[in-house]
This record gives sequence, C-alpha cells and structure tokens, in this order.
Amino acid sequence: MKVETMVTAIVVSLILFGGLTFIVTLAIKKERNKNNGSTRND
Amino acid sequence: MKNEFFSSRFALVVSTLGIAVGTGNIWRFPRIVAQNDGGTFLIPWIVFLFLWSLPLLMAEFAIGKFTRLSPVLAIPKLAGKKFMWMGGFIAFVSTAIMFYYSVVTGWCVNYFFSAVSGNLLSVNDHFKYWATFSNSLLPVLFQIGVMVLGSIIIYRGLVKGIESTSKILVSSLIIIIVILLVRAVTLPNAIKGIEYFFTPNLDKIFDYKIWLSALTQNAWDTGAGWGLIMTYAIYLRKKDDIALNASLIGFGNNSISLIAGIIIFSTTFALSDANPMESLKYSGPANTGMTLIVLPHLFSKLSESFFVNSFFAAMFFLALSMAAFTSLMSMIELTSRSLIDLGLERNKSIIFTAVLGIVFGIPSALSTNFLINQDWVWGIGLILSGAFISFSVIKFGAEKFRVNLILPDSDFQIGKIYNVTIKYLIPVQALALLVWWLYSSVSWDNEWLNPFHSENVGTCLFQWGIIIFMLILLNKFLIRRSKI
Repeated sequence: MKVETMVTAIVVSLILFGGLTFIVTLAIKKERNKNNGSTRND
Repeated sequence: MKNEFFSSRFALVVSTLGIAVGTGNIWRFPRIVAQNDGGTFLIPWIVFLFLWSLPLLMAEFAIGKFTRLSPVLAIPKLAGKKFMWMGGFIAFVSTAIMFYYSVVTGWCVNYFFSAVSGNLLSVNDHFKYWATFSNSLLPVLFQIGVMVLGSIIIYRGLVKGIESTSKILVSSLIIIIVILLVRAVTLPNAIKGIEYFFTPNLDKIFDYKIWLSALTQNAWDTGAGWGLIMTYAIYLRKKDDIALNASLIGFGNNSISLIAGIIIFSTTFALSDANPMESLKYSGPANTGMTLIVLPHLFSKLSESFFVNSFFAAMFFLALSMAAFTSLMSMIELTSRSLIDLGLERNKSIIFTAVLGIVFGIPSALSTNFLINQDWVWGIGLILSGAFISFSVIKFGAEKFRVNLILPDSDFQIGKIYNVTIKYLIPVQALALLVWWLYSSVSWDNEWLNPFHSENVGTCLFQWGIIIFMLILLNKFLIRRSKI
C-alpha cells in the first residue's frame, strides 16, 4: 500500500471518527453534568 | 405540536441525524468519489465540512431555537420583513425536493421488497428490470405509500411520531451499515477497493472541479442550508446546546458517508467482472446506475447461496429506504410547519402537504426525465438557500448572532472565526459554485438559456425566476397573514 494512501486513510478516519468519538464523549459528559445539576436543583 | 420539545438529547440527535443521513450518503457519495479521483476528493470534502456544513448547521440550529419558527418566517424575523421571500424560497426548494424525493424513497422501498421476495436477484438483466419498473405504475403507488406513511408519522407529533420513528430507523440503519461494512471488507480483493478509495492523486489535488464537487456534496448530504434542521430546532429545549449538537450531526453524517463509500468500493472491486471503476462511475438513467442496476448484479455474486445474497441485498436496500424515509419525514414537517406559521390549522396543513406531495410527485414518478429536471433545478437551488441563511445571519449581525444565539447554553465555545466563516467564506463558496456551474453549463450546452432543456442554466433561471417573482409579489400579503 502506498504511503499517501495510508496517510489519507489515517488522517481522514482520525478527523471523522476521532472527531465523532470526542464529540459523543463530550455530549455524554455534559448531559450527565446537566442532569446532576437539575437533580440538585430539584 | 407547538408546545412539544425533544424529550432527550439522544432523541434530538437521532431525529436530526435522520434528516442529514439520506440517499446522498449511500447513493450519491460513492459515485461522486469515483468520478473525482477517489482519495483526492476526500481531502476537500473534509475541508468543506468545516467551511460550509458546520457553520450552516450551527446557524440553522440557532435560528430555529431562537425564533421557534419555520424558515418562511424565521428568515424575515432575523433579516427584516422585506426579505420574507428568501424564507419562502428556502421552504419552497425543500418542498419541491420533497415532491421527487418521495419518488426516490418509493424506488428504494420497492427494491427492498423485491430483494426480500427474491425477485431482484433472480433476474439477469437489471437494466431491463429497472426499465420495466420505472415504466410501470409501481413508482406512483410506492410514492403515494411513502407520502401517506410519512404524513401519518408527522401527524402523530414530535415525541410519538418523529422521535420514536427516528430512534428505531436511525439506530437500525447504523447497525445494518456496520453489518454490511464487516461483510464488504472481508470479501476477497476488497482491499483493492479500499486502496483506490483512499489513494489521492496528488497531481490533481488543486483541480478546481474536484473542490467544487466536494463542496456540492457537502451541501447535499449534510442537510446544511435546506431549512430542515431549522424546522426541527424549533422543538429544542431551552437547555439544549447548539454547537455540540450541530457538530455531532456534521461529523456523524460524514462518518456514515465514509463507511458507505468503503462498503460500495470494497464490494465493487471484489465482485465486478468488468472494470470496477466503470461500474462505480456509471450514472445510468436518473443516476440509478450504480445503486439500482450494478449493485443488485453484484449482490447476486456475493456467495453461492441465493438466500445469503438476497439477505444482504435486502439489508442494503432497507438501509437505503430508512435513510431516505427519515429525510422525507423532515421535508413533510417543514412544509406543514410553514403552512401552520402562515395561519393554517395543523391537521389541515399536514393533510394539505400530503395531498400536495402526492399530486406534484406524480409527474416525477411517471417520468424520470421530469425527475432529473427537478433534481437539477432544486438541487442547485439549495446553494441559494444556504446563501440566504448566511445573508440573514449577516443582516442580523454575525457577532450578535454568535454571542446571543449560539453561545448561550452551548457545551463548547465557538470563537470569532465563526463570524469570518459565515460573513465571507459561505457567500464566497456559494458564489464560486454558482459561477463555476454557469461557466461549465454554457460550455457544454449551446442552448444554455433554453428553459425547456432538462439540465441547463435556462431551466434553473426560468423556474427560480417564477418562484422568486411570485414570492416577492406575495411578500406583503404573507407578512400580513403571518402577523410577524
């Protein structure tokens, strides 16, 4: 496999799947914080 | 449904992801990658996710949440009453797309049933099979079926209709895509397809056509600039954020496109007798070539077992049908919500939308030439829609928009770079696309101004002109009627 093929595959996958994983993790964390916050307020 | 809100972030994400993930990801994306030098295309495609899709997705989320109105009234609320025709144009473009998109959804559903019954893989000539199907009345029946079903779901409301359907369909779609991915990459020679998919041709990296195709694909398959996300954002809870949810949709949508590309390229390189690139680039009638003609043939060669082959073909067309259907639902919601905002009662507006969709979808169901024309005219019209959304943010004040509409309740910070993107980069991209399209259309068609050609500049200018002229004439009347 050519070097540029591997670089493109890694970079594109890292940006998309890595970005998605980061966003999903952040969303879960923020959601948990919001729910804990609202429970305390209740 | 006016007082309904999404019940959770998960419900919001799957519903809005259902808008973005459609035939553009599974049907259009692999063909466009093949036609634009494989891996070379992926680089600008990623760039435009950041320069076009994400800023517009954020704008749509923010406008919908702030105004609690569909585009037809949300745009004048931001930009001023005299620009109501722009909101009307955005709503009209998505409605016009709904007319023929319901036909395409019907095709996918028909191919799913055909694969389940075993008919699809028992025929030898798939071109003839498509021709027989498209010349029959079946496309009309399926189009009516999906419009009625979609309208019933919208009628059931946000939580019982849109949310519950999206949860089932989008979750199932992701599971099916993962199953298809595992099967595709484990086929012999699949690696050759994956290699082609990711290999850039560095000599062509600055080819402007590839960059413009990448921009068009982003405009098409993320749903940014359609007004659909704006309509669903009406139902965001106050605490729901803008930036993170919009990013989730952009990244999630493009990840699904990437997986769909790997599936199609692996399968084609593994199973194609002839040159796999020719199969991948084959547009065919109404762009059905790769998806409805080549793929069924490839599925029939997947293994020795007819049952296994039919199973995977059915899975593929089920995924395609579900992706198309959830997008269609949002188009029905946009049209009916626009009518509600213009003063029509909710039940009447949904029934009216269903009837409108069925009646104006019939010409596309009966004639693929008509469908091609409508796809051409309103597909390109989406670039104008995106530009109008950007214009309304500029008119409102980009910095004011970022600080007051995006940042409050947002889960991460969006810097001032957003202002530059929405004020300069989006209009420049829209203008570049339109100029390129005008230039290339003039070069390939001597009668480029003839309004009765199916795919040229003339037919777009003619149809856009009629709609914009009528909307400008009706501007004052619509403002009085809507009481904004």
